[in-house]
Parts: sequence; C-alpha cells; structure tokens
Amino acid sequence: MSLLAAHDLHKTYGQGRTAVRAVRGVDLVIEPGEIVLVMGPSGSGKTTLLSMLGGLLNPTEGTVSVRGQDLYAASKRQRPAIRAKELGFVFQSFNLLDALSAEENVLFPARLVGRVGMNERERAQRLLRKLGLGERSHHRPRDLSGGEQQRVAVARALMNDPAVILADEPTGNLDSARGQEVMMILHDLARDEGRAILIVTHDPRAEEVADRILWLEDGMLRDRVADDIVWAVDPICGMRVDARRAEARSERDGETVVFCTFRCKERFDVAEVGG
Amino acid sequence: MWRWVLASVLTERTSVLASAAGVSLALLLAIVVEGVFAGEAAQIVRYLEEARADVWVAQKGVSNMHMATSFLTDAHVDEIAEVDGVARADSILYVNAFLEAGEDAWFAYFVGGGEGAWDVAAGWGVPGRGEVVVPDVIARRSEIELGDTVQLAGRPLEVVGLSEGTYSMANPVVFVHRDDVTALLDAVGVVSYVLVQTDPSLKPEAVARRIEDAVEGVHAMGREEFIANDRAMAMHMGADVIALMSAVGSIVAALLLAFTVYADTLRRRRQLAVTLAMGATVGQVLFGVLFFALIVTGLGCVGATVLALGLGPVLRSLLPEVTLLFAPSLLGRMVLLSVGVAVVSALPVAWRVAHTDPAEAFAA
Repeated sequence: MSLLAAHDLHKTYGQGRTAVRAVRGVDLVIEPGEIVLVMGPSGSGKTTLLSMLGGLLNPTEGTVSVRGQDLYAASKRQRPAIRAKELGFVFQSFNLLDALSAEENVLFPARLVGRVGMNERERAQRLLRKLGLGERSHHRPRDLSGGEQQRVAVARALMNDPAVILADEPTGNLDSARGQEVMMILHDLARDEGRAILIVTHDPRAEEVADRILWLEDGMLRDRVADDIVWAVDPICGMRVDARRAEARSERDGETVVFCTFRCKERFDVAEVGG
Repeated sequence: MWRWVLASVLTERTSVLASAAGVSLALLLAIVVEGVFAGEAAQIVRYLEEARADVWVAQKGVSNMHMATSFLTDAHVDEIAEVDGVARADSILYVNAFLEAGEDAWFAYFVGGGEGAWDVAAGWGVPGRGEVVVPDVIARRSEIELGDTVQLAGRPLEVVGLSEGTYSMANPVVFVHRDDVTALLDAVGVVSYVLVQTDPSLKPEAVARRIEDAVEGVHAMGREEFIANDRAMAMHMGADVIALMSAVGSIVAALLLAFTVYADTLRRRRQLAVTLAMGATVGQVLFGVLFFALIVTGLGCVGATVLALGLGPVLRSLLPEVTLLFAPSLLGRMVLLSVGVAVVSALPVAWRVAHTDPAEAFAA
C-alpha cells in the first residue's frame, strides 16, 4: 500500500476571470522507502501542493490519502490528529520553538496527541542521539548551529513515528556540508525505516538521494528525466547545478555562470566587484 | 501547550515584561482616574458621615445639603427635641460662599454650629465668633497659617484651626461660628438643618417618621438616605467632569491593553502557525494564545496594583487637593476589566492564527 497518494489534485484561488489555478490535476503516489523530489521555479505551486499533501489546505478538487486514509474526508476535528501522528514536517527555516530546549521541541508533537511519559522521553533522547545531538538536548535553538537546528527539526518530525515526511527546502538555510548531512539523514530514514519522503527543493544536491524527481510548473507535475539536465558547477560552493533551470545567473567574460542560490550569486558578484 | 507558553514567558522575559509594563501603565491610568473619582465621591459626603446625626431634618421639600437651601427656625429645633425617641437635637446654619485668602478664592461650605472639625491638624476645631477653621489642603495651597485673616463675603475671620479630611474638589467644608453665618445671612433665629441623635433602641427611620408627624413643615430622613441623596446630587452637579475623565481613562486603558495583547499575539503568530501545521488543534492554539495573554495581563495587574499602592502616598503629597481611594473592589473591577479586554483582544488574532494560511509555516 502506498504511504502517500494524491489523486487529481486541484487548487484554484479566486473565481471567474481572476481565478488562479495554482495546482492542476496532480497525481502522485509515494511508496514506503521512497524519496521523491518536487522541483520547479518560484510560483509554480510547490508550497500549495505541499500544504495540500500535508492536510493544511483544502484542495478545490481531488483527494489526498495517507496510509489509505483520506485526509480531507476526515472531519476538521480529526485532521490535526492525523497530521500529528502520520505526517512529519521539516521546514526550510527550521521553525523550532525558541523557548523550548531541543528535547522539548522534539517532544512537542507527542504532547499534542497525549501525555508525555518515560517512553516518550526515551524516544526523544534516542532520536536526538541518533542524529548526533545527544549532548545538545538541553540547549535552546539559539545555541545551536543551523545544521543542528535542522537535525532537531528532523527528530521532531519523527517523534510520533509518522509514515510520511514532508520537507520544504530542508537544506535552504544550510551550507554545503550541513545540507549534505541533512539529505543523508532523510535518505537513511527512507531506506532503513521505510518512510515515504517528499522533498520540495531547489537544491540539486538532493537529486543524488532521490528515487524520483518531479518537475512542477504552472501547477502541473511531470517526471524530469536525467538527460534533461545539463550540469554545471557553482563557482562559490562547488555544488552541481542544473545549468538550464538555475535561476541565479551572472555573466563573466561573455560566459554564463550559474549558482545554486542567489546567496552564492551575491557572494560571487561582490568578489567580482572587489576584484 | 501550557509548557511552551510558560517557557516562552521565561525566555522572552524582556518583551513579556515590556508588554506587562504597558498593561500596568494602562491599568494604572484607569485605577488612578477611578481612584480620584471614588475618592471624590467619598469626600463629597464626608461631613455628613462624620457629623453625629442619626436623622437629618430639613425644610419640607429639601432632601439633601449640596447646593441646597433649607430654612428652619429655632422653634422647629425645640419641637423636634421634644419628639419621643429624640435623644438630642443640634442645629447648623450653612451657606455656600467663597473663602478669600489673599489672591485665592475657594468655593466652600461654611458650616456654622454643630461640633466643628472632627480631625484637627493644627489649632482647634470649634471656632468662636470671628474665627474660622479651614481645610489644611486650602491652607497649604494658599499659604495660610494659624492667626492669618481670611474673608467670608467681605467679613474678616481669623484662622484658628486647620482641619483634615474636610477637603473635596466640589465642596470643601469650612467651620465658622453660627453667629457669623447668621449675621451674613441676616437671619436671626434661623437654622438650615437639625441633626438628631435618636434613642439607640429605635430605628432612625422610625424616629424620622415621628418627627414628620409631630412637626409641621419639615422633611426628616435617616442618615443613610440623606447621605445617598446628597451624594447623588453632588455627583450629578459637580462630578460629571470626573466621571467623564474616569470613562475616558478606562477606555484609553482598555485600548492600550488591547493593543499590547494584540501586538504580542501577532508577534508570536508564526510560531503558532507552526504548531498548527504540526497537528495542534484550533482549541490548543486558542488556549495557547489566551494563556499567554492572561499571563501578560496578570503580570500587568500585579504591576499596576503595586504601582498604585506605591504611588498613592506620592500623589497625595504632590496633589493634596486630590483624594485618592483605592478600594479593593476597584482593583478587583480593574482586574476583571483587564482580563475581559485581554480575552477580547487576543481572540481575533487567535482566530486568524487558527485559520491561518499554511504558507506562513512554510515561509522561509
């Protein structure tokens, strides 16, 4: 049985002439242990799709089911519980609760669905140790590096043992090494624990761990074949970048240079100006 | 959720304290204005409360003292003294007039007769002919000392006493000899009110009915009724401005409190959206928002109470003409008001968060 399935998913904002069709007829099935990447330009509908798959935004048409359970057939009262138990979220900006320690952040989803006892505390500690944060469990987010914060966010997403992990740009705020580390963690979660993982990203590093890469453009999803890619190297961070689709570009000596992010482009431009 | 809220309060100490300080200042404003209002309301009838009278007797048709004119005669006083149940009958003659002290003119009650000032700060409290006992607040403001001369409608009077607790903004009470008021009004044998002490075994209201039955042309009222009438009249005539100030103060406080709670909740909106994405129910989110708002408001209430109690003596010494009265019921009312305002101001934001666009949680 697939862990996450979307069928003929549509989302339209507004009505009549001003209607915007953010997502159009998306069909998607993710099996246990599978990592699926959704890529696409800004404004292509990635966040809208992720929100609908996460049970946060009612689709205009279509269904989303998690482990065979139709998310939007469930009542509004039931849906948060399904979300808390079956879905784990990893956000680009980590979104840890500043006031809580790493351990309390990890325990937070467990508190949303019931009492937290010794078993839950042990599980939280186990997850933190597994992600290399055993010694940092009592630190607050502000005392952790970006990579550590994202690992806490991954541990939090796993706390209620969800079938599906939805990750929105999980490496977006991390440097190259930390980004690679987070991708490998997600990879292991799929391979070793059989979770279904959907990652929305611009980061080409993610492609190395993905089983499938889907391209979302104008609200429609299609497979992106490997030979569609022309690889280039970001001169700042050394990452591989899809030269055709990279949005961050500069001209140097008549040649086009592409970057993984606009941050790298800015650093490149500053270095150029500085000579 | 409550753990997170409490942890947030401890972690965001500076901003929580800043918000609580905002709430404190808003409440302090309302408490001080209400305190002035309550103090003035109490002070307006202070003379009537301190005077030894179980029953007040006035001219028929007169039911209070503030800005009222009542004329009875010495014969009425004698008749009242003879009524069964009357233990003692004293009379006063009073007039509303200006007390002139140097450049200053104070509108006041001049009470001639009776037992004089009940609390004396300096000198003595029962003036003789040509003498006057003035409120210490007026003495301080107009730099009057014992032995100085003040004027009552052009009549010089020597200050022989300074009284405490006799000042209010609407009607400070000045004590003079009854003969001075008699001479001023040219009303020999006339009194304004008769102050009756009743037989302790009888209800004052019953004695009042007996007086009205036995003596023609008088209106006799039990002490509580007379004070209530006077307070109502005084508030109606003189306290409208204070009542308006009090209402404005409370509204400003409510708006300031509402803004503080609203801004605080809005600041935490992103994190609330994240909890919602993770599976928090709308009820849990609403609880979190309200709990936080109530903690901030509770801290604000404690701060406002401490500030009010601490500032009371300071304000009293800086503004002696203002009587502040911080009754527990006033503080209780302010706490209830602030909790109500906090809930009302937090709910719209909580409602927005509960129905938030999920993109807020996904926003970079």
